[in-house]
Amino acid sequence: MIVSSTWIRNALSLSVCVLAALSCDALFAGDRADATTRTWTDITGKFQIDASFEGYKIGLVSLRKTDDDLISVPMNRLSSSDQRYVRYELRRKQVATTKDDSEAESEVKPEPSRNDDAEPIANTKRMAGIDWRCTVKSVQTAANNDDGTQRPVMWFRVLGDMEGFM
Amino acid sequence: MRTVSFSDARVQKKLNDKFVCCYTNTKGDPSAGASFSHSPDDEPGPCGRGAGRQNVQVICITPEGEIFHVATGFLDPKALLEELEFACQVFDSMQQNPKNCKQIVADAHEKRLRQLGFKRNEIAAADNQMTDLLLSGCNPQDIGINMPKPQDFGMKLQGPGASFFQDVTRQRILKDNKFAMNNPLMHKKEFEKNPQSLVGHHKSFFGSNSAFNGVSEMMNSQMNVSRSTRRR
Repeated sequence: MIVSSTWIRNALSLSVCVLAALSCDALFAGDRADATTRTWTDITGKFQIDASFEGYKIGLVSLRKTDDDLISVPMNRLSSSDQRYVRYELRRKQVATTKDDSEAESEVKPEPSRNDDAEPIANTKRMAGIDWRCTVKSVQTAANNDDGTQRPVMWFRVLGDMEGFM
Repeated sequence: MRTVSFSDARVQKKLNDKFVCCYTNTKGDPSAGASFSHSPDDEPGPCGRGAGRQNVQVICITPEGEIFHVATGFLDPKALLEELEFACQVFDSMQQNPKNCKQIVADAHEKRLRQLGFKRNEIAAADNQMTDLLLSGCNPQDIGINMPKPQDFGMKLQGPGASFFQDVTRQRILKDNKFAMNNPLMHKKEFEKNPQSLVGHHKSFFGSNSAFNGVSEMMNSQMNVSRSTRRR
């Protein structure tokens, strides 16, 4: 039986789409947030959609449209304010989870803190007990946590090099 | 800053746990002041809050590079911790209400200035050359004369010219907070085109005791400032 290569390509891409949709559903099924419908905007500002936040995993934001369809959008394609909203939601959920955990455990674990003997972090200089990121990429990587939350950046502008500043 | 403020354990913990830190050497930048080089093991010399504002600036930005808080010049550990704590609060508020970040930054700084005792007309007034002139002048704090903390603005200083000296520190704090209030979420690339909008157009100077090669010792002895007030 002879099958054209175009047909195979179409069949393969359809399978990938179905698999992606299934995996997204599975991915976010256990991670449902409060269903608050809001307007989401893409990074260009041209496209908008009304949907509720469902979850986040590995750079993908899952949104449930008003017709109940579930879609996933890359985090970096959302507007900066939408990205902040996602981080806020994740942070809120993380705080709630932590609270539940702490209530369950009577033992309070001390907050981990680095010291001078700790292993050096990549692209980082440790000076005066502080880890100074040396590249823009390492700053952004460190500021965007894996769970979607963020840390602010302390940018020190100084006259002089690391060994001689005021 | 290195030998006094960044070496403080509380500051180190705050910065490592709550912030991502990076630095830029402003050597050659038109906004940079002047400084004699000094070695890391120099004994810290006398230095007042806000001194050398063209030489050091603590700028708090979002990971996207938007400025939401600034503090220029020298900050002792207590003052630096206060600035960092305030920055954390503003950043948390921004994350909680991402649609209104600019308003949050502006409001937070205005509220802070009001809490520090600034009047509405001072906060609303436009920057003028007199302010820059005031900030460029030599501050007695820079050579170890005790100055009031921000929360002590209401106190009465003693001695001739006390109100003038008090006003220098006050103006530095006002100018920094007004910058963030009037330019909420300015992108760092935009800021780097004209840092003088924050630090002024004058040239300030800073040097440690060893860099001065004893000159500051002579100045201090002439001014009859006791050693205990000069050392930190």
